[in-house]
Amino acid sequence: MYPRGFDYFSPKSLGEALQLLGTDPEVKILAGGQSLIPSLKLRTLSVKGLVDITGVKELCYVRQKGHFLKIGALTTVASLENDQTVASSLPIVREAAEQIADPLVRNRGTIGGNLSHADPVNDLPAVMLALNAMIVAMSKQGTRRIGADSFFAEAGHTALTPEEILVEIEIFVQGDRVGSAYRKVRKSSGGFSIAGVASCLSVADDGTIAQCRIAMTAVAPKVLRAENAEQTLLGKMPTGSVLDQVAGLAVKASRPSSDLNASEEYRRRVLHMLVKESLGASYEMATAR
Amino acid sequence: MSSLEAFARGAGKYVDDITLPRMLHMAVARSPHARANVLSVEGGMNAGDLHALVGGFGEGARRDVDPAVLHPVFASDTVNYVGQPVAAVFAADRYAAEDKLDEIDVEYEKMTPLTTVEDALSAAPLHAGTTSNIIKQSWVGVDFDDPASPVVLEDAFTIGRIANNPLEPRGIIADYDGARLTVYVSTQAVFSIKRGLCNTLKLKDSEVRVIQADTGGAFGVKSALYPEYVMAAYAAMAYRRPVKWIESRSEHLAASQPGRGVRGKMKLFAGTEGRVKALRAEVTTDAGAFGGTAGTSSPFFIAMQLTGPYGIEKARVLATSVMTNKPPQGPYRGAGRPEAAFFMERMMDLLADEIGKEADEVRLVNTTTKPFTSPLGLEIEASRPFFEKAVAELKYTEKSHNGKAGLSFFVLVSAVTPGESARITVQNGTVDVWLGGNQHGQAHVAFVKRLLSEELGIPENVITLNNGDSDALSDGVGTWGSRSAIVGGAAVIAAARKVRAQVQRRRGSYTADTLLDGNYDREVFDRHARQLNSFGANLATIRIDKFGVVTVQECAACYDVGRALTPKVVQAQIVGGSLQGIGQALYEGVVHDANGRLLTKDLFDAGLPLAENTPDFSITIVERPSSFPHKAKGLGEAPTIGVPPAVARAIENVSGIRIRHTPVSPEELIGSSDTQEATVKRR
Amino acid sequence: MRTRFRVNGADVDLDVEPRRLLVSILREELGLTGTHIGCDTTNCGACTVLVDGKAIKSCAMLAVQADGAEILTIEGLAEGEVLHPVQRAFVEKHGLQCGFCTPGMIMTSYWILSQNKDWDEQDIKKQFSGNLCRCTGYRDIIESLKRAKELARGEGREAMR
Repeated sequence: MYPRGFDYFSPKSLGEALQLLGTDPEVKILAGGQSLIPSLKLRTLSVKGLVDITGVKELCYVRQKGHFLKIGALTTVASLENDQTVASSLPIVREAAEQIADPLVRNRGTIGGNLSHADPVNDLPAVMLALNAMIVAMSKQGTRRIGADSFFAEAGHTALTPEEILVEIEIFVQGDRVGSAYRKVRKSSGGFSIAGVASCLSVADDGTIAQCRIAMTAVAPKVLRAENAEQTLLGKMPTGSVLDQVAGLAVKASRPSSDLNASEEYRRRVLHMLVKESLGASYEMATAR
Repeated sequence: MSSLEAFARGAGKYVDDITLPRMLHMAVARSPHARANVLSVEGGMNAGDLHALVGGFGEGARRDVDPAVLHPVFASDTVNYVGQPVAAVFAADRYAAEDKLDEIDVEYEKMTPLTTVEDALSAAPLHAGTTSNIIKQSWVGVDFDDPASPVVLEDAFTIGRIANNPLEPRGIIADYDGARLTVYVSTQAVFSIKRGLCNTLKLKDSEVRVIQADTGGAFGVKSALYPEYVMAAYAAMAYRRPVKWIESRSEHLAASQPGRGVRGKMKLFAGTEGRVKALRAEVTTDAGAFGGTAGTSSPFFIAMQLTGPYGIEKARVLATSVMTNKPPQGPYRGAGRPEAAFFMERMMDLLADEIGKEADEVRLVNTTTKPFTSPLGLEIEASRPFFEKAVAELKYTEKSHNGKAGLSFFVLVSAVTPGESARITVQNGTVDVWLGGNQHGQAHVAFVKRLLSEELGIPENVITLNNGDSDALSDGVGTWGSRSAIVGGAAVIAAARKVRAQVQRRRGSYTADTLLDGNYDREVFDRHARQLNSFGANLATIRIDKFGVVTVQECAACYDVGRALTPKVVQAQIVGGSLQGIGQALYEGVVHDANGRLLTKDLFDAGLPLAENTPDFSITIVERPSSFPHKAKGLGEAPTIGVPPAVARAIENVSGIRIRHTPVSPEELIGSSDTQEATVKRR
Repeated sequence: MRTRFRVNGADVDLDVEPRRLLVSILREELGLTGTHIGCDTTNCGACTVLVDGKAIKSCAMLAVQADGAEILTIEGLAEGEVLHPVQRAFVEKHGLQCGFCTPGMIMTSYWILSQNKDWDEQDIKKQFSGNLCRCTGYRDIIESLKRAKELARGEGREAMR
């Protein structure tokens, strides 16, 4: 119900924050706290110290720089939900953001937190994988740019070291003939996702799919891409039977487990439909322009 | 309770809002195993300090059980469910109290838990000194020879356990001054708590006072005496400091008394026109690890109601309560009534399909045109007039074709016996009232004001209904079982009439002014031992999406409330209860795995409905006066009875899948969406 | 750890253990018991307060994180005897029964209205997904919100101050 004790630091600048992080994995970063604090309260997690970076205001922004959308790691999920730039250039991010938890949690939870928690049911990791986002991390040693595939390569932890802070997410916003969409199902009376699919694709002049990334969440020990499915879609029109085939391959790549809220089999069936829905919506967006 | 305005200001005084000087906070160490021998307990207050049993106090509780099956306050030789209390620690600050749990060391020897009724019936007894895991078993009704019947239908149903989950968890403060134990508690029944504490701690009546704090909902879970209450009281007496215990939600899910958890086997014998001649049934409750709680008696209460609003002349039911390695079963709004209605209504729908009649037609055939007492002991008025009216009001015929609506028809058995107490005092121009049952959201104050202003001719604004206080009354029962307006209202009227007579005697005649001028103090225990049962019907329409997710579109009710004493409150009770009914049908459960571990980790797991799950509600009130002086009948539990079977039938109509349990999950319905053709075995 | 913030317009300066939740400080150190604790898993929203104008769950925030913030709790809405329009609406429309979820519902309602967005009924219901109620079935809570909007407009106030 209440956390155990810990040391607490509240740096006011990024530099100060970085100095506080060493190689001790029991000193963790606290941002919005919407995942961390519940774990501390249930005592499923204990920490030696928390470095609260919510005072590092410089990490809160959404900027368009040329073809890149740059999102500061401390941008709240609610800000993503309401930001006009996000809405117009990357509606998939808003689609995911507005379905995370509830509005109160979204007012505190940050994109950085949502990505770095390595929670296999979180929504934004799938979106970042689909968009091939670049994660920018900083440590005392300097800056590291980590592609989303590498960032989410392992289950249970991201590519971040205990000394690093995720500072920015950089997403290349392509122009014409590109579409993306996030679709998910969650237990109807609230709670975590049962399955979620983010897709991003580009369409050639002849209407066939030129590039495609499909990312799935809540259906494996970590967020993952459906690479066989992606390959199969390339060069094709997204007809009913093609999408069926692609969805089948995505399901094959998934490793869902059964829990109180859904069985493996149900997750697979839902995943199949969500892959088709997400791809269908992405294609519609790409060809609408 | 505080007024609506006070609550809207945040000025309510719930147990956790009360702080006493030198108060200690209590934290409870609990078993992580569903079944184990306890080899040793080091640290904290434990069975070595207090050896006592709880059970037998509160709604539905039974005292006539073998002490060997009663719940010990602190586990001694064995633990029998995950979450069972083993020891308690105390500190001046609640964070520190939780830290202190680390100091407790328990050595367990794990045993194989019995997590299903089947396991429990075939295994050796859980409790030493007993011969089986059956707490109670007996037949209800009179045996008969199977009637010659062209239609014989059998089916079996399961209603999963549900955690009550009031928004305010359980909580208590115990304070002992050397002579008296005073307890502040979130409760529905101060007298249940008082009697329980006296019994368990061997205290005299005069030594215990129980005061109801503002109570943030209960739904049945706050009338029982719990081990934690006894621990807090005992510690307060041992340490001579007030002791506060506030339950966490996790503790509520693990270790309060969840409701439902019942299996029903039904066999109907009927004619081709649909008239049910006889019923054979078995009702078995998963009563959890200990006896003496409502789970012990619930199968008998369910059995008694099984014939519902129908004139079924022959019926016999085998009712059994069985112990398993789960928390003991308690009452949850409805407390046996929803189960009985679900079993019978599902059979009525099966019968309709079998003989090719509409759901309303087959029910109509089985209504009564005269008062009827069923072989199971259920007394009902003639049910036909109400049913005909309800079907018309609910527009069933129209909606069954367009929207494939589900219909249900039921009896609400209000827990009238043994009546209720009320006390009225008048001084300084103000009127104070205490009732034996304690409101916790149902706004009893509203009907108290209405009835008193009618009886005594006084303005409502001079009347206050006080929170429960065992010092303010000499005895009382409790708020549960849809009884409060009926018996609480009757008691208020009885007390008012006594006061009125007193004014008459003293002053020669009665006027409101003469009353308010004087000082009066009258208490009554208004005894009633009869049945007051009322009818209700529900209609539901639903949609199923391609993921199998059900959305309830319309939830319509037609209930006979006798007299709507306070229309706003009546509406509120029906809407709130209806969403709970939808919760049972679609979302809610408290689930243990095969090792007896609790899988339900939070309120979302438990399936509490959200605002976005609410349908359109439509409510029709029928007022066919009761013979009580206020003319009202019961209400509170009606929606939890009628809504689940109506929703179940609607799902059946749309999906073509026969529904035999609650909750129904999307998984079972995926692929049966109403965008596809559904075939149900109809005419 | 020294922590300074403003609650309902009044300055607060406390020495706070870092692990203590904001809800604990509000309820215990400051005696503002209108904000309630209904769960330990951040689901129920009975602890909802406004921090720097945003509705948040005070059980999922450390008190030390409130340093420098402007906090509004249920006790800060009324002006002396006069209830805020949102509070009046809840009383009028019977948007409460046991009252336990009510402060959280009222604070979230206040926040919803302060955003001045054009939401349909289903959208509004989703805005309450962080606030659970067991008694009312939510219908009268939604009605209270609608009434609050009318009352505020009728009084010529910005939906909220």
